Amino acid sequence: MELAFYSCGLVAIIATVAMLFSRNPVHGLLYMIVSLLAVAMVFFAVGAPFAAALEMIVYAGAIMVLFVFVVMMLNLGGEVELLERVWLQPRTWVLPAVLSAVVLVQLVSFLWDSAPSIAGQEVSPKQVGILLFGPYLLAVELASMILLGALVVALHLGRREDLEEGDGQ
Amino acid sequence: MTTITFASLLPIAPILVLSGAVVLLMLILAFYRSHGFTLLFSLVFIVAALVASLPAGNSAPVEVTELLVVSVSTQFYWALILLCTLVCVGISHRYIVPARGLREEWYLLLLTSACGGMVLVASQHFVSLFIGLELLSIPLYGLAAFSLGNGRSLEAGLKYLVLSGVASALLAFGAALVYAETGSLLLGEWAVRGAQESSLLVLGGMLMLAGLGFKLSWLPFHTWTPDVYQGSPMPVSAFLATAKKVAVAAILVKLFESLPVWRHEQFVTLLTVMAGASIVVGNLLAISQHSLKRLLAYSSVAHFGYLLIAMIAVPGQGAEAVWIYLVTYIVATLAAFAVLSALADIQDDAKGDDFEAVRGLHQRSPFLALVLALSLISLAGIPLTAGFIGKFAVFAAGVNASEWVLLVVAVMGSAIGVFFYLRAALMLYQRGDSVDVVKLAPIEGALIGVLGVATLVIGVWPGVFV
Repeated sequence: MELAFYSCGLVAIIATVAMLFSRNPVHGLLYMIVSLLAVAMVFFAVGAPFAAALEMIVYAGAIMVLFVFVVMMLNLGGEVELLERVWLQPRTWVLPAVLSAVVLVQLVSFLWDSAPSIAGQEVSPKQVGILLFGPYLLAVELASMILLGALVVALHLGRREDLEEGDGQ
Repeated sequence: MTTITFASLLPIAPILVLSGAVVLLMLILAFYRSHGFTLLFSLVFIVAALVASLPAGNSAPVEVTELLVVSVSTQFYWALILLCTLVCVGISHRYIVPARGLREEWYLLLLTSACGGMVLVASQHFVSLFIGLELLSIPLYGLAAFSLGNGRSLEAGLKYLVLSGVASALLAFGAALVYAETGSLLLGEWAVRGAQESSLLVLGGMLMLAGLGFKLSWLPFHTWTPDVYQGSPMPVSAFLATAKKVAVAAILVKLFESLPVWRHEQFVTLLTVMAGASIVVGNLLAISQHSLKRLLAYSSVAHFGYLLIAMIAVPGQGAEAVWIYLVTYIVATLAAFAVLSALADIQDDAKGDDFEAVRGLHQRSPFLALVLALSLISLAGIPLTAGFIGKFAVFAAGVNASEWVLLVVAVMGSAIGVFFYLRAALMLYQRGDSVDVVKLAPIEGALIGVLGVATLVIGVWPGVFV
């Protein structure tokens, strides 16, 4: 487990730095997904499988959606094919592939024989749920208020001005 | 583990009232939109929350779950935040009438943000602290960029979003390091277990200080302030300069009590440098401004430098000085922003911002010119206005804590301040180009009048609010 913890931590750091320095937004997003997956493995290693699953579903999943959006926006003209050929050069995909392979090896070896976590105890989803809906209930409710605020902000800023003539009073 | 009952939630009634208002308003807006009704609804609920936050007489702090704690000082800060919100909502109505697009969200966002500020000042756990801070900030990003199609406003929103996000990340990272050392996220536990020397605590304390310093725009984290203030719509700048800063200052006082590492010698030196630099640079940069909003922004940088003098003395009698200073600061700042907002509207903010546009205000509205001049004089800290009482309280706290170097710097800073505040105040009485009479909404006039009177009353007779 120590090996998984440190190797995935290292992968996360390398992927994040690579994300910061990649000029192409799609490459950056790919590195970010690798980084998030590696962080999820770190969570696994310290005995928080629920947090790891959330990290993968929410972050990596949501980032994937963002990724698709960016690709959709980039697919605007005829130079797309040329772009894709450029993207498929080895030097662009070797590093992410190696990093993801490291994470994958750790994941498989973890599933092969589930060694105890570093912390010695595992936090199950049930325990997380009991805490969230026990002493931290107010925090959950307040977090929903944050989402409400963010949603209203997004609604306001995302509006098209030309649709609003005569709206309101 | 205790169960949460209705009675145990009673101490946080103001937060419940305000968040209930937010949800209710959202549901109402889905079916019925009316600008006037939304204003009335917001005002009624803010006043209701204000009534609920009046101290009930029992002085013992009450814990509400392990996240929040309500004491007399919490209720005081709640009242202060709600009063700021009341003024900001009150001056908004006429201001945002010409806005393109929908306007009712404005009030919803202001209420949400105030709710976050109240959670922040009541928190005794890092989770509620962080959630409160984000709930306070996130609606403000939208409000800063509220004016659709206005590049300045959008720039302000974006700048505020990015820098505030970085600051929050620093704060969370710092708290994680402190957690690694103390094994707890409760502020009370930090005070007990964080007393020993440890490099993790020092690093964590530094990062937390940087994160919160961003929010209060202490030097060297002040660069975003003038741009964001200038770009944001006027009532939002007022909210940023008052309610938000009050909430963050309140939690900082609490952290000064619960982070022993901030009282180490090196940290006190660091804080002294930050305070001194904020005072000097804030006042010096304010001199060369030709925009009242930027002037007020640099003024707030300097004012929170003065406030830091009191905060360094927090384990002693600093907390009281912070209270007094905040009251006097927000009265004057709100009065100034209310007058500027009355001169402008969301489509043309420059009418209340440019020195040239405001020159000769006396010809157009003697009342507004008088209140604005009074508030500027109060911000300068001249006797017989509220600002003097605030400065006096801070200086007294500084003398008791023997912060001599800082006091000398503060006196010099005040002297520079007198120059540009008085220059701006005099400008109102010079001959100006415009002779348009200013039309005030009744609620705006009433609020400006009350704030102007409060500036004088607190200055002449400080006993009223003790």
